[in-house]
Amino acid sequence: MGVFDDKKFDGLDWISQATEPMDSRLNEILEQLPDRLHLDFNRFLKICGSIHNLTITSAIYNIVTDTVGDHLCWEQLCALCTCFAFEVEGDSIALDFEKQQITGSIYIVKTATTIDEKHLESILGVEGMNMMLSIDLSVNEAMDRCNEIMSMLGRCEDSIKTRSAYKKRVALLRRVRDLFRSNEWNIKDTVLADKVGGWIASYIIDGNLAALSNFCRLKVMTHKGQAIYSMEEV
Amino acid sequence: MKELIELIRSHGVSRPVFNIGYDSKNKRIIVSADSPAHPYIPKALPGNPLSALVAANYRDNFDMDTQTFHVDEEHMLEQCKTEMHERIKTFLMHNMQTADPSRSKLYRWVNYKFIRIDVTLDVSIMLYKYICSFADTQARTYDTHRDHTNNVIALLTAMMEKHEPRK
Repeated sequence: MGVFDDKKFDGLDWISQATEPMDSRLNEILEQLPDRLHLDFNRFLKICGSIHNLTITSAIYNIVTDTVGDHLCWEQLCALCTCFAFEVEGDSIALDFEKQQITGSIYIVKTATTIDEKHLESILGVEGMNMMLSIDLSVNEAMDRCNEIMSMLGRCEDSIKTRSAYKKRVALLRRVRDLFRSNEWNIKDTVLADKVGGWIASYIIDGNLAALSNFCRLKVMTHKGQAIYSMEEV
Repeated sequence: MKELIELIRSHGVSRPVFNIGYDSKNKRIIVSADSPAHPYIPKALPGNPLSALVAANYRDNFDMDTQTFHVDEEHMLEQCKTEMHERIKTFLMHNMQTADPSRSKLYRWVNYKFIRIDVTLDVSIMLYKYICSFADTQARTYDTHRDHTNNVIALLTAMMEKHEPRK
């Protein structure tokens, strides 16, 4: 059936189909970032904000915002930062406000052109899971919808029976987290993985049937037993 | 008070240059914001205890908006006031001829109420300078300065009686 086809997977060459590499938007962002960036006085202050220590994370966050304009969650930012380092030149580096310059040189250097796949696997679905934190089960309908999702996720039988909204919510978050930690559904595209949590949250909170439909489609595709790179969404 | 403020304002400020270090393990650029590369070293006027007090309590702060250092006048003034008050109290502790000066009416008045009267700062400055002229750094005097010691105690007692009349 065409609606369950994985067009992206079908379009891969045989080596990629055999090795099933992770496909991540972060690698595309990484490609857009400069290989070597000199931090002059003005750029240093702009990134730093004030006279404070400058971490690679805050530096990359500023650069990504300026260059690409994308918003990344904390985990994604940290993954990106593993590919960068500071490089310092000069015996004595100083920030001189009198002359409005930095004596010596500071660079941000790209140390890798792709993010380590193990790191990508460790943050799979994290953006979606962050959206699930806003799930509120105080309404009966939300509790029922949560039970539906949990029955589809599987391994939640005890949690479905509980009437405690708090315990149910915790169990749901834990189940989804475990699902992505082991990558039970063999999702190889981080953008797709990040949508899962969003669909779950959207259906439970608002009763969004399109979100439920997408979630169900993805679940059906897992029965193929092959890596999932893309899906036709409603 | 004018003298104190003039002394505070007579000092310069540090140059706005900060050393930068690199922590390769934590991937962090460290800016030594608390210790500028060219700090201002305050110097006291010779033979002027008030100037020495101000120099010992010198502090300047970096203002990111103006990107320059400014003397923290308020902090210095407060610190000087506190130290002068402490010196007067220590003087009483060491020189009042009672078994336990801390339990005396005068000491308790100086400790709690002296700082609240209007002319405290000017009086504190005057007393501080006077005490420094004959007492050592621990506010101890010796028998040769008994007259001066008695003068200070008499002055404080008179102030106490003025502001705390006997019931």
